[in-house]
Amino acid sequence: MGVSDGRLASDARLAGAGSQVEGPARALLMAALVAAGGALPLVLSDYWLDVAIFWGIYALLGLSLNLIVGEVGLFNMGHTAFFAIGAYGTVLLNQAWGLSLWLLMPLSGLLAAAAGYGLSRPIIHLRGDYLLVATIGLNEILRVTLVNNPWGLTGGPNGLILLDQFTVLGRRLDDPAAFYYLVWGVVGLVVWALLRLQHSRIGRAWNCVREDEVAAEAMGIDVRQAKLLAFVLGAGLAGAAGTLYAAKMVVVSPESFTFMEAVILFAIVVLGGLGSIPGVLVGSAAMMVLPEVLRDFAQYRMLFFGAAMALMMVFRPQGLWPSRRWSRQLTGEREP
Amino acid sequence: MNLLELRGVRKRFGGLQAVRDVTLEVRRGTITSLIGPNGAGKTTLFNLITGIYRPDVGSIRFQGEELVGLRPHQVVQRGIARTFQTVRLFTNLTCLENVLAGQHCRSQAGLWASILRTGRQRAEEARVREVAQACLELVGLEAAAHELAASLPYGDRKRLEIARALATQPTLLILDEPAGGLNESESHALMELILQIRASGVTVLLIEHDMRVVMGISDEVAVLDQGRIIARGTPSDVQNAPQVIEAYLGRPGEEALI
Repeated sequence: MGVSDGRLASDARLAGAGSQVEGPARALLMAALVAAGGALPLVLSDYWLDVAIFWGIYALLGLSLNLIVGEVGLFNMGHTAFFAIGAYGTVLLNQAWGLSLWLLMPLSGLLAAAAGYGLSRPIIHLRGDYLLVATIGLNEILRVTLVNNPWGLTGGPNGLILLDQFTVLGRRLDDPAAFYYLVWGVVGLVVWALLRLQHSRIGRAWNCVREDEVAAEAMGIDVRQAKLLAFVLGAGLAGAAGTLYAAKMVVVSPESFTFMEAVILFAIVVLGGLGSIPGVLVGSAAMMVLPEVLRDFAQYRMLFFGAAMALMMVFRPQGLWPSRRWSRQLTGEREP
Repeated sequence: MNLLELRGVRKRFGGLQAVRDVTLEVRRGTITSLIGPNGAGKTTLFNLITGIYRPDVGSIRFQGEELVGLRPHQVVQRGIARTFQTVRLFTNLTCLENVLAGQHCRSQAGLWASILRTGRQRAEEARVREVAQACLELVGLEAAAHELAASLPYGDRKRLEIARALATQPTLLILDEPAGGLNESESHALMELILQIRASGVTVLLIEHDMRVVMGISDEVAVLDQGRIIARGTPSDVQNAPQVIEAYLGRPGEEALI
């Protein structure tokens, strides 16, 4: 671990944007956060636990989209499609063969990853806004297909009902506290894996592709393969989140997977800070928890949302918790 | 044996015959320069060698292996690295990360190895960092390892680009106008660096406008004009060749077309 430890410490030092946390202090902070998170079900009402559960699910979705948008710079506005494939796949496979949800979570991930591969392969070479439009198209095609109930599979506009639930030793994880631990356990695992990926050969190649495709190719990076890997991985992760969503919602219907959802996911990544893992956690909190806090103003929700986005772009384009690159690039700050 | 051999290479863009029938050899262990007036097709030729363009006709052989049809990243794997005329760094990454990119094709840790940090992945990572560090030291940028590439002054950016190319551990290094925009002391340091690179066993192919650099360090010079090689030889041969003087200055007695 020698090399990587030094590297992590230097990352923490470079974290910019106020978070000047070093080695042991950082570990202590992490432990405190985990402990606080673990204690939440003791103090929160069921209602707020549900909010925290949705925060976790959207954090997962944000993390998966961040791989594509933040790390590699591919504008994907159709990410809900993979989320939907995961959720529908979970219900259908459970109904057909009664597979356990523990098995269905990775399986839905694989299903969505396969779909991500098939759908992105023909369009992955598109740049910027062209890719954006193509992915919006994919998302809409899938949603309309779900509504039209092909071969009586998807239940049309009413959707499908998931009768099964995650079980541990025969006990269903129905209660919010148990489900909360499940969701945030998965978030923790994914964050751990993504942090390691960020500081690896693969994560570096992704960032090079984002910075300059021609130069990346000239450095021996297979740009097409790097993009496909990020897209497939992101799609797979969204698919796995789909299982959690289906288990939480019980009813899976097309109205959960509209274009607006894709916009919210995109906003989570941009709001938090492109390419920043803590940024995604903060961004998803802003999108999922804040609206609940401001419930009394629910009718003004879209107004707040729009105004917040506009203000963000003017005053803090790097996001709430930017990756160090963005913050340093935008402020011109240099390492001391 | 020649390290790189171009035979009858042609490339047309619409109505423009950018490269017409170029035949060129680069001998192992030399510094070979490609000079010529603006628009002569030098950069196009580099892009053909590195796989960014595909020639219409002709063959490009490197260490006996045909390169035509390979994609740019495959050409790098075979041992040809390059820099760009307009510096193309990963500006939002640190200098070290820029150079680490060069080692991508010399390492193979996959998705699972990277997540699980297997022993082999950690050993590879340590080795990759060592190479990157050595490349930074060679160009004298080790102190800036954790600075963003965007924060470097222009001359250092050019040196960083060379370090990044060297990190791919090439057999042939292709430099596209490395002295462009450098002041005199910087271009002097650059010449030292290029000689040092040759001494380390890397063959260098160079496009350059700065004649002091070209004449000072080249073993061989080829002159390209309107997509054709019009002269080849040692720097002094080429300097005195009438067709070269003509390409640069025009025919004696010819009216200027202004």
